[in-house]
Amino acid sequence: MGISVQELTHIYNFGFPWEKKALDSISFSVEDGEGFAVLGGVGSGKSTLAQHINGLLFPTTGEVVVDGITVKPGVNLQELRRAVGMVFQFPETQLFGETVYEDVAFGLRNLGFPEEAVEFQVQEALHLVGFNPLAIRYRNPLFLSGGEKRKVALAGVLAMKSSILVLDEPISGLDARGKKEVLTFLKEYKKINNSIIIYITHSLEEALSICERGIILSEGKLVYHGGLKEYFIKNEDWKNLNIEPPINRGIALTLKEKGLKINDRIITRLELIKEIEECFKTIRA
Amino acid sequence: MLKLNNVYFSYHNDTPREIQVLRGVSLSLGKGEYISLVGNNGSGKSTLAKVISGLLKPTEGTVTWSSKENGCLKPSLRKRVGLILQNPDNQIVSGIVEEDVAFGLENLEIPPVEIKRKVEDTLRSLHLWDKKDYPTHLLSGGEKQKLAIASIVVMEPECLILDEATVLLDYRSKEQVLETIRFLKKTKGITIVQITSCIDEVIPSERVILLDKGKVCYDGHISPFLRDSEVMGLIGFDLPAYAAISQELIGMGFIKEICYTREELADKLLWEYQYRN
Ligand SMILES: Nc1ncnc2c1ncn2[C@@H]1O[C@H](COP(=O)(O)OP(=O)(O)OP(=O)(O)O)[C@@H](O)[C@H]1O
Ligand SMILES: Nc1ncnc2c1ncn2[C@@H]1O[C@H](COP(=O)(O)OP(=O)(O)OP(=O)(O)O)[C@@H](O)[C@H]1O
Ligand SMILES: [Mg+2]
Ligand SMILES: [Mg+2]
Repeated sequence: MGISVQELTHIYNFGFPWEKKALDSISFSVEDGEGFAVLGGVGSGKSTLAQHINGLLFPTTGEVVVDGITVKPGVNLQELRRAVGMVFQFPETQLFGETVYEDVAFGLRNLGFPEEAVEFQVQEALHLVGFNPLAIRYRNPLFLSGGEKRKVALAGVLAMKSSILVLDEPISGLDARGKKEVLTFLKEYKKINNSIIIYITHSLEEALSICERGIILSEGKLVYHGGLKEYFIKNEDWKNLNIEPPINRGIALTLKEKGLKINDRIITRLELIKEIEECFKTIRA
Repeated sequence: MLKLNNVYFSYHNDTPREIQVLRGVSLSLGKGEYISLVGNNGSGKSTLAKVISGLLKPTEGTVTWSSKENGCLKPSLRKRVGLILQNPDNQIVSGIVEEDVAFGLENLEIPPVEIKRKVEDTLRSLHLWDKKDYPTHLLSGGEKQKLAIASIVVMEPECLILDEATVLLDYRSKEQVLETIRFLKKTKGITIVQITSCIDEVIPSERVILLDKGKVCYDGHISPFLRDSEVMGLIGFDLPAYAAISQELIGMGFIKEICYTREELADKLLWEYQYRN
């Protein structure tokens, strides 16, 4: 049933010291099966937005509807969190099991899964994030390395097979192989389960690998809503939004700045190489 | 400047078994070096960083500082090594941003006027000055990382270790951090050790140390590292983006050498273009 956010404003500590308008009248919607990026620089309001989707925060004004459930005080949180799996920006905040196994199993047990199914799904999830399930299951999650903690947090959410995933910088801290594996898996996951993935990041390249559409936030305001590639082909104001241009567009732009006559409105490596080819052709002719 | 000789380290706090993390690490860090420390999750990078900074004592082996430097003065280890932890929450000690940055300096017995100036300079260079009175627990993830960096950088340690300290920062903030530490390297000759899992961040460093299961598998200059597909593959590194593109362009006969930065690639292409014209 998707996600709909209408004129969402969030003010922290309203009427108290440290009052802060972190979101300012944000509207967008996400359809089932969509990878949807929330892009923006440090402090732009991304995590604040994420926490509205699983009911950790409620709108100051405006409306958030997730899978047909309106997120407001008094909402059935258990129902909401069954639909929404969330990986926090700091994985430590969501690890509380005494062992890795207990931690990943927690959500499934809460939903009343039989122990056999729990065992199977925990093993599968641990395997997915790149662990040897037998070697890691008895470890205390708080005594793991930074990347290992992130992987346990991810496994805990993936095990639930929720129809909506909200992932706040999910691959930061993973090693290079882990990053690639998780991104590949998420793409599959989205397709197989027709799930929504809300992918929060400051990195465009990461977002592009999972999402076609998204929003860009800047100081709590929505500055773009729509296709990511289109945005980066048509616009140049990302310079002011603390977002790095796509690598290939960046190269084309630098070449153009240095005086080469090249079309810089490109995103993929293939397009870049084609443009360079065109350029060099003009010499030979 | 600093030498690790056959260092072993094990944790004993978790399972009944000990977890052996460092297995005979020997290396030395020189003044003014810019080093990337890389390795898979769990390979022992953070543990090694803590051993170097004196937060953890080796189970076996030695960590020694050459004492004759800096006119024989022996400042505290805290002043010598600044370690920016992987999780900023483990590092932020004060309730207010400005106080947190001043905290380390106050322990070094620096006059208050100078503390104030240094704190302001550092917060401004990281664009965190407008948050100086903010309660630290209300900061966003990236703002916390900036604060953790500010609190260590302000002490101008001789050796600065960044443990994945910029993973939550947008590219503009990353540039601000890089600028700040490059300035320290240039003006004070500090040693920089950055722990990272991103090949593009490794490029500007001069030396790479690769840890695998607690052992040093590569320690040397960056160029041979980038050409060694076996070593790169050990930690799942692909060729850096610009190198991969330039390889393709070499194949097509447009340029002759692999480039590692955007500027370099653009310059080479432009040069070839003008030369042929
Ligand atoms: N406090 C601790 N107690 C017990 N074991 C630990 C502790 N911290 C880390 N370990 C274990 O020691 C090994 C090395 O951990 P370390 O944090 O040094 O790795 P790392 O290379 O920094 O990994 P990452 O890239 O994930 O941050 C891991 O297997 C980890 O599980
Ligand atoms: N509980 C709070 N009280 C007051 N201000 C807050 C609170 N939490 C966050 N803020 C502020 O609101 C703004 C938005 O924070 P948020 O965590 O949503 O940003 P973000 O886009 O996730 O940033 P980052 O990329 O750094 O994680 C920041 O300026 C932050 O300082
Ligand atoms: Mg955030
Ligand atoms: Mg680590």
